[in-house]
Amino acid sequence: MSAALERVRRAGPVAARIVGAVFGGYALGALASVAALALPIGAPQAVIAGMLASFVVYACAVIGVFLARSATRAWAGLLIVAVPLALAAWSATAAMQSAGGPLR
Amino acid sequence: MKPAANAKPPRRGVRQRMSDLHTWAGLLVGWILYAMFLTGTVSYFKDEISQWMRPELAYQRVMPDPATAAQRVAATLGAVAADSPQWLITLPTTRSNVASAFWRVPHPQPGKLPYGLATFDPSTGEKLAVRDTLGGEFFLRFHYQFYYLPAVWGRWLAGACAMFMVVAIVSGVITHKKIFVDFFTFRWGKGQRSWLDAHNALSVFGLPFHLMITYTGLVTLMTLYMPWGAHAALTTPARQHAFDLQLSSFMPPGARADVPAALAPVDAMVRVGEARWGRGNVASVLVTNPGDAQARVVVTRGAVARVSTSPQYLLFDGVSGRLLDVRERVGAAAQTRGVLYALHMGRFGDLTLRWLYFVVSLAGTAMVGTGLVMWTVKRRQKLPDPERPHFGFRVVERLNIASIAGLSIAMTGFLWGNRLLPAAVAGRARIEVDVFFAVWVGVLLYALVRPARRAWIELLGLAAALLALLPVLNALTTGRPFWRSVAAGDWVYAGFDLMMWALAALHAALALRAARHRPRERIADGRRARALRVEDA
Amino acid sequence: MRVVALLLCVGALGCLAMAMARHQQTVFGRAFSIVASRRLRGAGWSGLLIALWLSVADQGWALGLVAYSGITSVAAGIVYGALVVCERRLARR
Repeated sequence: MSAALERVRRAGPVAARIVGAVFGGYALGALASVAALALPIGAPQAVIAGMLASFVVYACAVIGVFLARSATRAWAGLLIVAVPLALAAWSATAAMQSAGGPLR
Repeated sequence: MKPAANAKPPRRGVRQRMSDLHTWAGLLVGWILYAMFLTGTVSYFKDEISQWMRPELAYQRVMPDPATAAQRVAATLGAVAADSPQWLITLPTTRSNVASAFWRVPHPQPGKLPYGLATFDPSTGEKLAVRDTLGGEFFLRFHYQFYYLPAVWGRWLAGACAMFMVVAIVSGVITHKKIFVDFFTFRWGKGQRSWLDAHNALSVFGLPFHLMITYTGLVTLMTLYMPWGAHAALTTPARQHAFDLQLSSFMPPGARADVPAALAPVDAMVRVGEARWGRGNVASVLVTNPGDAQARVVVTRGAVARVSTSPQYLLFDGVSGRLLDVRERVGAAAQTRGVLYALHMGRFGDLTLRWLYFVVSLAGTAMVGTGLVMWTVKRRQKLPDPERPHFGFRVVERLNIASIAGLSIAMTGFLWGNRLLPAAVAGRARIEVDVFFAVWVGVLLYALVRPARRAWIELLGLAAALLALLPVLNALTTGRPFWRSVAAGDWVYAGFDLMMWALAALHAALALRAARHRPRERIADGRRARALRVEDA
Repeated sequence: MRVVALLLCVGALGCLAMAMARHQQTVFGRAFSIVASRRLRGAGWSGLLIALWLSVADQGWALGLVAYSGITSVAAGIVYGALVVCERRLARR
């Protein structure tokens, strides 16, 4: 029993990294694509720029998760990067809702 | 002091972790990536393949006048699809000898699709009376959305594989940091090391290309993969429309006036486009509300000599023929996306540039293939008993055979099917696709029952035979054998035959190599070390 | 013009390859001096830059850069193939 538990325990960090890379990375990319709306270039250009950048962010996140020295650090890194992106994204969408005016 | 059983295993270094990431990322999706790469590679010549697959159409020495072709197809559509709110006519080019059209059907019969699709003879404007086939479009469509899947799922699968590939490239470069220095060191015929070096060499050759093609592939479908920014920002139809115009010249059909009015001559509009962008450089004509007073016509620029797909178009009033609007600029981000999209499609260049694309893309295909084979070569040496490998190894080995040798056989089988299937069969285009997959499944089953090494040799040999005999089949079933194509200066058909023979030779060479290869015996470490030192001297 | 650029790249990459001690040993049986290797490396990089300039001058930035990437890839393949052939032939002697 304890041998099986041991194997599960050993697999934990790798599994955590994989989840972080695949899903956390996508989430970061998606966040980045919305955060790009905060750029001071009309909405259509910002949307496109966000999409273009999102794949780069995703790829860097995946590499970063596996470069990190431990699974905990990997997840911490993801969260640390997510915070400013989330703030920018939130403020940009709030601005979009309230402005609702003509596109530049 | 913790007891030894709880001690953590020694942490793997950065390079080792990146190498593991590279191996896993590559292995999990390698077979699909190989198929995407190979079908993408041949898609650079899809128009030529389409010509080959419609042998009833004579060799097009001179490009048909696109303006007249547009007018004639519009006349046919006026009869066939008069009540359609929108027609999209794709014009012939120097490489494509057909016109095609897509139109919406406002009230489809139950069970029928709400749109129509057909290919037309550019000289008469009539629907083509030749064998129904997808042509080279089959390979392109497989490349990014596969078959037998809902299109959106197929595109998601392709995108996921592309993302894995980006990670594999970056982790590969990090693993092999001295990559440009080590690039020129290659050992020939030395078992595992030479496979590794072949894989490295192919990867490094086209590193800029591979990274570019993978990233730009994601960009082509970016609105599907990352729609979140668009959801957040494009909250009104006006905003959505303004965004769409940054990406393409497609316009949704506007409101009708319900006042019948004849459509103005479309050929005049195409000629305005040609005057502006160059002869033959008009890609398509989009007619909305034909036969109505609110008709509009959008004439879109072609791909020649322009490294961007950002829309450049002319908007005409569909009744008076008056030019209403000229759009030739988009914003900076949109222009960047247009350039990236064009780099992926590779349609902007001339023949030489397209051949360059083809060669480097083929190297990329070989990069994926050597990576997959290398995994089995490496693991085989570590097997406790090479005669009875564990299950995972056998799965990888068989999938390698089925997806590498098998794809060559299936693609050639598709072309054989095009020549052998009777022209009048209903749903012929679909049956050609079924033939492709049936052959592929057949190869997979064969690879499962034969011993692995024999399977490689036999299947590569079969591919070589099918490729070599295809020009013979062509000569027997059509009036266009190789010698006649050369005499007539028909370099599409002649070139196609030559390419088949070249590929046959390649597969034959690979089969011979597989036949001569003897897996390295497991010898005692001391003897091996001494043997290696002798060889390196 | 593309052919000129291709030939130039083949020469340049050949110089870069021959600037490596390992290849000097393989092809000539001895290592060159450090100065000679450095000169070869300089010649190689200069050649690559000149070929880039030729491509862009001929076809503009967009097409020129794309053509240049293709030409360098093909040139790398040619030099590489030549090295492999050289190595095999010399190993047999």
